Amino acid sequence: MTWWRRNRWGVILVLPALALAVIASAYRLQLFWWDYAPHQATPGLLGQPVTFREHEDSDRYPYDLDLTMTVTQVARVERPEGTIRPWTWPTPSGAGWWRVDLHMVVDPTTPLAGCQLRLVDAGGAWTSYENTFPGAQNTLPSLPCAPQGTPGPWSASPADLAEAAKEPRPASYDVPVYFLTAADFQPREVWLWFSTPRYIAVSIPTG
Amino acid sequence: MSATGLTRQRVSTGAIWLIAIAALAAGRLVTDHLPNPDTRATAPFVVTAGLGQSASMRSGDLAVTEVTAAPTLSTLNGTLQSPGLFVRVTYRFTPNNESGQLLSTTVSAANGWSWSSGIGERVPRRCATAPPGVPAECAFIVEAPADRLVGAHAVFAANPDNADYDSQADIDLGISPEDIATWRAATKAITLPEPTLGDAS
Repeated sequence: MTWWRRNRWGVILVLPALALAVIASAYRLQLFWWDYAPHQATPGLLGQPVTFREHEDSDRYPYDLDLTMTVTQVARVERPEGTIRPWTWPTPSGAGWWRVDLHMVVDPTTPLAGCQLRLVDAGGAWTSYENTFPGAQNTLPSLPCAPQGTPGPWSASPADLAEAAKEPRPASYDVPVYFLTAADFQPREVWLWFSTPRYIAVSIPTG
Repeated sequence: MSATGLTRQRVSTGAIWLIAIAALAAGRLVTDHLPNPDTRATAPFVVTAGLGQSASMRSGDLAVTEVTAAPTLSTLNGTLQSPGLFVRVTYRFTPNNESGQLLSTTVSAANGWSWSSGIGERVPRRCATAPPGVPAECAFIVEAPADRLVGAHAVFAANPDNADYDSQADIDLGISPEDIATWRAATKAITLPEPTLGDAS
């Protein structure tokens, strides 16, 4: 009896055993921090609506998010306008303002409190939305993608929903978002997300 | 077996034991002095610079622009008196790729003692998140014994918890015994100014 004949079943079983070992440890192949940042884009284009659906379950009142967003305009501006008090904070030297106009269509009972925004340039550098600045008496809205005054519910808890129902958010609205960036920053994409890793990436054509 | 044969066997057994122990000791010596691969893998990438010089970190460029100290600190909550010194480190940080700021600010003495400031610490830091390409002028304060400050360094990192895998700036503050004497005699309290954004004008 040759060695191969004696050991053929052993040799054949090595293959499924190896496959099983790889599959069993496959969860280790996932980078555990990958989901902490926006990494899964839903693409869109300036001026065109993007529909974004997501199940939010980060707190004890989960809800379904279903919104349609259009970035209608991206433009350099002198300073923010339409703030509660007129904007008086001088723009830091070497910096400038970008205004991004959003048109949102979303159910008035959907919480938008987790909304985060970012401008990304061609090289991947990004400026996040900030609402307070050192030395400034003015502040921008803490919730950038809801209209001021009627932000809607902060969470899907019955108390927050009841509170928001007193002054409901319109089912569709326009909202300007202001970003302080370096003076020579050229945005190529607007990113918006609620919980990572999924996000909306709206491309801004050059020129 | 003859008596000499028995002695020879004892000698050779003893020699083998000695060689084994020597080999173990040598092995121990080598492993003790080799760098630990785990520590090396997670160690921060240290960038050194002097006062006023720019240190290029992963997250941006950092320069310590001023160091000063006094025995009293004036804050919004009142005036604090120290048996040592309140040291104020003023620095400029320009993020290169992402909006941000440095969340770990420490002064480290030559003997390894270190004092941190910021959230959760007794002494404050005031800084602001700057967009990439826009410098933020910030400052932090630590309280330290005056006799430990000569030769002290300021250590900065982006992450508040640790600088593993990331860059860490180590800035020689260039503090001399004369500086300490001047600072100990200072009557004006140290304050922590509001941060500013943009190029110094």
